[in-house]
Amino acid sequence: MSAPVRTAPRRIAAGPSILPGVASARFDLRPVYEPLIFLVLTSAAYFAMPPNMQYILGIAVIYALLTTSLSVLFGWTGTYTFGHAAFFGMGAYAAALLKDQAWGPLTFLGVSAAVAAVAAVVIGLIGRRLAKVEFAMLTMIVGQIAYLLTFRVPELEGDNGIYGIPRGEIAGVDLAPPETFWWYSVIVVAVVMGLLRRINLSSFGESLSAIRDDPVKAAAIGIPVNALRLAAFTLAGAVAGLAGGLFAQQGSIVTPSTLSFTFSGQIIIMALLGGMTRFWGPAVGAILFQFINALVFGNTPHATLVLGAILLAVVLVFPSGVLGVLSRLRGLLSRGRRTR
Amino acid sequence: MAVISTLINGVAYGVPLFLVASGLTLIYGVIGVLNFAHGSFFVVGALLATTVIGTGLPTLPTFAVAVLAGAAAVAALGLVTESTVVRRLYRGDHITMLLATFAVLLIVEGVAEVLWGTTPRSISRPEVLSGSTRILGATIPLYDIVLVVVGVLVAAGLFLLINKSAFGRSVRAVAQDSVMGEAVGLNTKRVMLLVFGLGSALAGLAGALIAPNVSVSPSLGHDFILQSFAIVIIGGLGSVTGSLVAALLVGVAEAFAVAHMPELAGFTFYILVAVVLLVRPRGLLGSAKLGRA
Repeated sequence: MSAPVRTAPRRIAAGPSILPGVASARFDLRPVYEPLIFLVLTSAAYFAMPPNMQYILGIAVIYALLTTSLSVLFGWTGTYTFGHAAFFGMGAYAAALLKDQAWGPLTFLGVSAAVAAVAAVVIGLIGRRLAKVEFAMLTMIVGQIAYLLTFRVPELEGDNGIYGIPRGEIAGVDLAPPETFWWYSVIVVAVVMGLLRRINLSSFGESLSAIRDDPVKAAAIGIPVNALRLAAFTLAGAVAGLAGGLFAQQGSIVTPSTLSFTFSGQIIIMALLGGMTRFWGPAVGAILFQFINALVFGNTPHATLVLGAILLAVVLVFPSGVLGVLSRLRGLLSRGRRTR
Repeated sequence: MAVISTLINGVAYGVPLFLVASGLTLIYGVIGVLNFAHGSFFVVGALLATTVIGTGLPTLPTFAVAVLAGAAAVAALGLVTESTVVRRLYRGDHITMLLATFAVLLIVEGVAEVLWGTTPRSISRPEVLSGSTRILGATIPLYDIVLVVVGVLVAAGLFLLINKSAFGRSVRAVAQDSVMGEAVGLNTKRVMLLVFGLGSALAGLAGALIAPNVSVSPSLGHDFILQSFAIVIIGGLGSVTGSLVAALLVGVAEAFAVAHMPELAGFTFYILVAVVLLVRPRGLLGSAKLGRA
């Protein structure tokens, strides 16, 4: 069976998507050149910026990976989660707790991803029979449990957080200087984004779209809905955990705020700002949000209020429903940058 | 009798949770909106009570006024939210709703931070209710008994309102099928507005009642809304009776955990949620709900 390819926007692809003569995903080069464009653009911006902005962009590219992992659920599969920060935090805490191991930085990222993936499998199995809204609440509650545990388990140090997570070195190159770490983190992010893009274009990604659009019909044509949902949840958890590990290496400290409910909400807001109907939307949203936040609202004490106002504006300006609307919004926000 | 005191303690702990959760589940059952902002409404009720009472020792009438003012003001806040934000999104999907009410949560919390500051506040119980009494050999704080009585009154009132009154009949009709309700001449918009106001009032009432027991700050809502969501899930989305059963169950379990297994205190909610979801994915009374799923 040839893998169907989405060459047109989803609204059109909902029609006959397996067309004769369409190149299969295997020969689609978007998973290669799109991350390269991402890497070149962000790096060009990075080296043109003053150091304080470089710091923000360094965090923003990690958040770009995190919001894209959220989009695997919200945007690709139509599964809603309000506790995504938990996986990010688990990845970060995994790296923090194992900081004394003499592993390379990439091994740490692998461990972070694995820990979060295992947690995602367990949560996904507990919630496998739940309807959408109940599942969203379950994820929220799980997130809160993870957050409370950081205060309850002495080794996790509560509000103080865990300090001194090393950046390590790869092939003799010390990652401690900011510029070296920038190359390390942006390459890791770009490679994982490329893998996600490949998965997004595969028949697996296409099946997820079918589940999102109509789970009953998807089941009727033989798509194993529950198994694929679980797979998507695990994938999203693993990538979020990897982003968390990267975040821990970047800041060398992990605090409970990385798995708070508020941060889960912020991940959703960032992804929504970019729009989750396009693959690169959440990544663009994350970077945009970080700069809006730093430049416009960095000095206001009313961050919560401003965050709420942004979200309400995004949701209300187009009353026709968020998913259909945000691709238009993203189109406005990122016109002239990237089209997909 | 330690068991009886733990039991009453647990029930008293469960009552504010029931008030918050019943409002949440009522709004969900009738309108189909899972209202994130409910947690911030609860906090506004608590903050208003601290403002009305101030730092002194309140008399019983002052305290009653503070509680009623909290409920009334939050009801008004709910009515405004419904008519400005929620109403526009009835035709949107669940996720749009969740995000919009999440935005309202952030905005209300942000405004509360501006008005009341982030420093935690605390108030005293009214003098007459600050003592304790002995029941069957157990020492019970009087305030716990007040909470239990309020819980019983609200549960009975809600039951009568929904099942016996003319308004309740239209509420049930809208919950079952709002389009059909409109076709037979019900003003469904008004019913939904009033239900939203009623649910919000319950959140405000709960907030004002719990204010003497906790330290009140604008971020109090986060933890409480998650606990209320846990109760709504355990009880079954849309079932008021379910949230009553779940709140009592959780309250008593939490009280026993505090008394006998302190390492589990604060986690009983979440453990119960996991167990209930594994056994009954739609909650304890998920099938006996008010209206639609």
